[in-house]
Amino acid sequence: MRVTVERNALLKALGHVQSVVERRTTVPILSNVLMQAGEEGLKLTATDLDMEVVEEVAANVLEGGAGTAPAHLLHDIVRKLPDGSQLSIEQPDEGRVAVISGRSRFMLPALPPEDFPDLAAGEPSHEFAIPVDDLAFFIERTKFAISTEETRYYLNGIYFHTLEREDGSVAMRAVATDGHRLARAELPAPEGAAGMPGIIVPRKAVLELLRLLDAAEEDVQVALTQSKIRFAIDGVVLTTKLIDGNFPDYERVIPIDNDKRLEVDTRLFAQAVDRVSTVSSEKGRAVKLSIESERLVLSVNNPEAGSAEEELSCHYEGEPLEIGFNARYLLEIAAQIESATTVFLFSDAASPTIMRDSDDDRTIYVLMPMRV
Amino acid sequence: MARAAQEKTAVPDIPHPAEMTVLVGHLKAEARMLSALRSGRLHHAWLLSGPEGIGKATLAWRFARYLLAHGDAPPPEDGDLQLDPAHPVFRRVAARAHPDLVSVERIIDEKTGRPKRAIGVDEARRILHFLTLTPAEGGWRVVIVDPVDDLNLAAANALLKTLEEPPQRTLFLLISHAPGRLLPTIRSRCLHLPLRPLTPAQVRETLALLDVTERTDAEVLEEAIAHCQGAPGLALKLVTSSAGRLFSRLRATLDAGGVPDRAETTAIVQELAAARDPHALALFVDLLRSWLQERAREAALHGNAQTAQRLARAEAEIAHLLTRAESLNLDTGLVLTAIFQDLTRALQASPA
Repeated sequence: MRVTVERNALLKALGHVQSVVERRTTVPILSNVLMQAGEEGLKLTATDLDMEVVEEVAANVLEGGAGTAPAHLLHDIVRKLPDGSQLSIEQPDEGRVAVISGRSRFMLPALPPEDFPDLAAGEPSHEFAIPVDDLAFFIERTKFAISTEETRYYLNGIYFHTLEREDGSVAMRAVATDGHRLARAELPAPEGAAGMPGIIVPRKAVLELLRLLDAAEEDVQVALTQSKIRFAIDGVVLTTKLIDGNFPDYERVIPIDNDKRLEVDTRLFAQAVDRVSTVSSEKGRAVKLSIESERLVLSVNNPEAGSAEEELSCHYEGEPLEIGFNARYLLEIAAQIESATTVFLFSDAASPTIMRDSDDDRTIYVLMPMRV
Repeated sequence: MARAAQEKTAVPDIPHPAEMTVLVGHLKAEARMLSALRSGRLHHAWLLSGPEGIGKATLAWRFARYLLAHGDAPPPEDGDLQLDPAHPVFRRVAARAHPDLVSVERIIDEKTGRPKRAIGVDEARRILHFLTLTPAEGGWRVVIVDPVDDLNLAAANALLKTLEEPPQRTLFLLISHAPGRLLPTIRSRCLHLPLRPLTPAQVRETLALLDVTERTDAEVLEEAIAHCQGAPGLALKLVTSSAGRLFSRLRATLDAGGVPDRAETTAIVQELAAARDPHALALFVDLLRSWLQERAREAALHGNAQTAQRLARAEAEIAHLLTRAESLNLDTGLVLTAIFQDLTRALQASPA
């Protein structure tokens, strides 16, 4: 293998792929990046055995071939090379990879490319294109609710599925929950996605995907195989295993007949929750909402640290209600709501409550109350 | 890197079973695996048991590679489980980089540099995490535990749960040197496949195939084959470790009915302590214990109950001493000296 490549292009690609490489891996080859020089350029691959990121870089290939080199080391080296410089990567022998730029010359230990894992195979059952903003919307609106509890591993990711709406159109939904709160985002399904099986994309892949979407412009090409999903984002391809489990029937926990409607200013509410929760205990974090017509009182009473109370004006017409929630959960959901007004739908102090954006019905959040 | 320096590879020149291309014997066991594949009803958990060093792990990795490469399509009638070492699956498995295989083994403690005493629950959790994700190639997932005897109670219970409700198309290969000591609940979930020690001819063949024969002194080699109890793994240790050489010197004295004198034992203690190799000490004590067991058995067969009892008790004391020394992290030299005291007492008391 012998290629010359532009430093900035290589740095960008290495930045993408090296983030899946674990710092402390016990398997030597997994700390390496696979470099394959072919007609199209230089292809970089990195994996942690659960997911894989591949990116092609434009390169002048003088001699095709493949090699591997320590990913973090290579990234650090390329980062320190001068902006805009050209560098050349070659393999003097099987055990080494040379990186040469100007007067700098690095010799890195290499491992055989044949030992490198392969996650890419498989014929897709469903393929579709989804706009970057839509995919980012799905992830951003739901990721905070993903469970990190390993015993309920089927909640350790975002559940994507499609369904037919009442008007006959097909919608795609993303759902995440940890048993205390649930987030559901819905958009019209991209063409080709209808009928796809429900899948759970693991948390680590979701976060990696979001990072890649940050700078993306073109539609994301998604391909689903029997046991994996692949996202192609502006030349970067992320392939991940899925969570092998069944997502619970979440519809059952979304109440449909909550009739007590509260409307409150989103920012003022979030700021007030943040303020009163200062005195809450580390463990409980409970905030009490006392609601009566046109008046909402937030209060925290912590025998050790004192108490706090704040009053907000609101719009409420039902019977007076007292209900408690975890302050952090309230804040995390409020942070998702973009419009000026947040809508709460209550049933009673012990039943799940709905929170939603007053002018955006694409998302819905369900929150379990706490006893206060 | 810690897992790369595993116990099995710590003795130089012995490839880890994941990289081993040679398997001699165990044809019946392999035939059972092949016929299970042919029947289309592959049991989800296999327990491969037998003495240490006879090739249980080698067979397990061989089975794993075959299944990952060929799936559960029925193998040809005259086929075996051999996979070409250049096959991509072989390469990835040997590099521990196959996305559909996870192996749990005793790892070297990074702080002490010695193998950990047990396989803890963190290692067992790697299996659980692995099984929460779909197989990368859409086929089988393989879990290897080597040896399952080393799981501590928490780890064993964590494993038990998935053994009871195994995910689809998952194969567990559990290796055990002492199946009788396993949790009955684990044993009862598995298809038990006991493997037997090899014949001396098979051990010789194994060593030849591993290119050990040419690199070893003929006398040392024959002695290793004679004393390895049908375990090529042990034979390899005997030819490569200083403990093997030291023990064969001691055995000359012991077999002649003598009691090692202080000069002799001191020399051994010094050499072993200087080696700073925990494996060498463990191997030396293992050899000594099996010698004592053998003599005790012989004495019992000849109706010499008292001698048999004394030797057996010495063996048990040495075993106990070693366990305690390990948990207290005592000095190798002192431990050995104490072991020799036990030995000398047992031998002197017995009529020659």
